[in-house]
Amino acid sequence: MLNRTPLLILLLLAPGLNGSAAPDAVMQAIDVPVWDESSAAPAVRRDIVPPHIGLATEQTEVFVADPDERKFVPPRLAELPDNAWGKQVRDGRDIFVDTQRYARRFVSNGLNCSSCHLSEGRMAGAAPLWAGYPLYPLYRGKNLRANTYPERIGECFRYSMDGTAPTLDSPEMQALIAYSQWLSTNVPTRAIMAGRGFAGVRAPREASHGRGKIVYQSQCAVCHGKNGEGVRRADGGDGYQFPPLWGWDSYASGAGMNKLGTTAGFIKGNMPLGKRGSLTDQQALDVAFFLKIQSRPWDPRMGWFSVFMDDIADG
Amino acid sequence: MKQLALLLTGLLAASHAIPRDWPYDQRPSAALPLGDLPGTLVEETPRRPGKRFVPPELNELPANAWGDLVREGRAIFIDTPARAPRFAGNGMSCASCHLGEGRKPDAAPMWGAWPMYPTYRGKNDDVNTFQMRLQDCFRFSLDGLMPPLQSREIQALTAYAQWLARGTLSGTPPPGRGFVPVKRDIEPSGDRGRVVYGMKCAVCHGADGEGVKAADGERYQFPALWGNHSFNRGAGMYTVRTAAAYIKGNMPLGRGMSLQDQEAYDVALYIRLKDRPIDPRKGWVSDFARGFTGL
Repeated sequence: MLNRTPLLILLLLAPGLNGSAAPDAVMQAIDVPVWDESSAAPAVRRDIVPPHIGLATEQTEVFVADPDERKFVPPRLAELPDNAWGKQVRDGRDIFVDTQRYARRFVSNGLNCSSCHLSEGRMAGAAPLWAGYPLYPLYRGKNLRANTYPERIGECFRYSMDGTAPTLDSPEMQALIAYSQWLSTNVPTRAIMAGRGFAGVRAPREASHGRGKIVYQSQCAVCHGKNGEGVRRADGGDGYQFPPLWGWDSYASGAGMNKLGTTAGFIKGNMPLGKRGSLTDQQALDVAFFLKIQSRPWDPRMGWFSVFMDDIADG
Repeated sequence: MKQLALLLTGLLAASHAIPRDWPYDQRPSAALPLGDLPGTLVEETPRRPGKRFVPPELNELPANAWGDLVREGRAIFIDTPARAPRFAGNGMSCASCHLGEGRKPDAAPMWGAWPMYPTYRGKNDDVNTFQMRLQDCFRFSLDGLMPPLQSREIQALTAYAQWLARGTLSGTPPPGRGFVPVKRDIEPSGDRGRVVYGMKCAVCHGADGEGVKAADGERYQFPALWGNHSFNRGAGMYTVRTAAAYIKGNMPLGRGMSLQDQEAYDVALYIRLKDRPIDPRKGWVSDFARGFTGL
């Protein structure tokens, strides 16, 4: 403990150092939620996605990590009525799954909303919209005040999409609100739903980007690329099939996904895609640390001087 | 003589407005008994029995930033001219129509509206978010200016409405939402409405609809129903059927559901025919022409 104290002070003075210098000290500062590992037995449920024609078998079942946990089921797209409100909701879904095309003017990296909010914002454990929308307005420690839902969407655009917050009266914002409210049909207002946000991780050891690099190369690089550059869309459209994890087309340093605990929870609950829950908490945390020390667009709340100092500190 | 006959028919109509087989179940009153009442009367008869959503109480709010925002929203809601002076235009508060601080069923309670938005509204032929709906209230019913969506007032009112709706199901209309249903095939009469107004409404709202000011001489104890301090011609309350539904469910204050549909329609038309601020969507020409067309 004694030999850690100077490092901790150094960390308080220079936040940019916490990337590669002192993983143990970083771990002390993370509030790690509890992840219940008791229900890890694989089970199957009906898939909501119809099978592709080209598949060899008509597989209509998917594996779920925790079958006993009851999760909310949002309404289906086919249930939408054919009127102005239904069109607004469909517009919101279009923006959500293809932000690169439908909200181009507010995005400056290569991500879509559904790059993190998987399955069009429906996946429990991947910050589903039906668990987030009913909670707002909500106090957030990020900006130390109560935020309305449109403001929260604006922050997604500003940090995770490295872009500009849409004005609150823009059609993009209204469509996204309508889509969120429709996905939360019959969710009680202000209820904390099971599957909200991301899973928690509890790792026995402190995070190590060295181990994380190994896990990344063996588990993640096949989709996200050896250098985290992702895979572009095959049809040549803007955006990515698999999102880039660092570099200019990825999320900014101010994004929630750049926080170690958040990233680890997302990875633990959702990655590798279709094999959720297959990494241990330790592996998820290691990969998260490996991602955090990479270069990415800087935090728009910081000026060029802090960014410059960060670059020097990271060496 | 004719007026006397109308008055008598009005009295007769009022006397059997409540059916004899009405289920008089009792519930505790939210109001404390007055000191000079005989006995401790703490029960009242609900005029529209049935299960209603119960919004949370004010003292359940935590003492943090979110709680402060909700409390600020409530303060704006019940005292709009003083707490949102830059946007309020007339003497009304939100709570002038949304009775009981936006809690009373059948008076367009906030907990009934919040889970339904965003929704399509024929008024502007568009899908409206809740914040845009608040803006319309300021523009028409309060005859003021639309607060910008990022203004503190809109945020506070949004937080207040969402807190009141704690537990309501998103997208599901709760019972008691909006106003009570009224018949649609009713021919209103302003003459009959004047009689009913004089009997039932004038004691609080004044013989000329000017309302009653509170003891401080600025705020309104009972809101003005026409004139420059009332809602303008673009407000939903300017529609006869909407006003009739509101009147039937809530007026006279504390005696909701005591008027018949016909009486409510008559009073609503009588109020509509009076002078009030013009519709901000229209120019002064159409308001000038109104005097000739009689609309």
